[in-house]
Amino acid sequence: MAKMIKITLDESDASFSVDLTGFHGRGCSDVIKAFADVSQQTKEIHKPEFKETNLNLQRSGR
Amino acid sequence: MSSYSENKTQFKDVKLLCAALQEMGFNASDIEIHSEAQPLIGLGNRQTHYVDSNGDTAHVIIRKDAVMRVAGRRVWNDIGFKRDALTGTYSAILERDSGYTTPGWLMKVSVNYAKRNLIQTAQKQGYRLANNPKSVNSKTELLFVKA
Repeated sequence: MAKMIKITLDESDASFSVDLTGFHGRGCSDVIKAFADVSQQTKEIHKPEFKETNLNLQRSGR
Repeated sequence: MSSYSENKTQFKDVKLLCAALQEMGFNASDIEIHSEAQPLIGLGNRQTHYVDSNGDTAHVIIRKDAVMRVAGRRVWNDIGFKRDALTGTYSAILERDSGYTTPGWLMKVSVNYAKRNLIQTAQKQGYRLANNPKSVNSKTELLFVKA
């Protein structure tokens, strides 16, 4: 599955959430870390599968 | 009598800040960028002393004439962004009286800055913007795919 990053920017407070599709294991945290540097107001959203991929790297990110 | 307020921001990249300000209607030529902080000018064409007893200064300045042109109303002070030497972030030094540079105005600049910063960060990670971001219910979605 193709890797996709969906970012939702909230114009009320300039905060944003990051939603990842198609990522596996450490790829998720690398992307989140890159965007965390953008703003201290970053809100992180992981799909349930993100937690699973941390436990089992063989599973799909979505 | 007019006054300034000082507002801490997360702005660190002066190019992104300038682009965010241009999105607010200013021309690139309206935005002064200085390596050393320069005086902010207020009523009577004198340096103001509202947030600094030694005189208000800033590294990024939009002079009041340009602010008036874009705001479409009379304003008395320059807009300034002063860089913190320790953190590298800018504080916005804004006049309160004209009703133009309100907290809502600064939030719009912050949103413009954040959007550009997100796109730049994604590009550095090897992703490209795959949609035409539009604001819906005060939220903007940015979709990135691997370039």
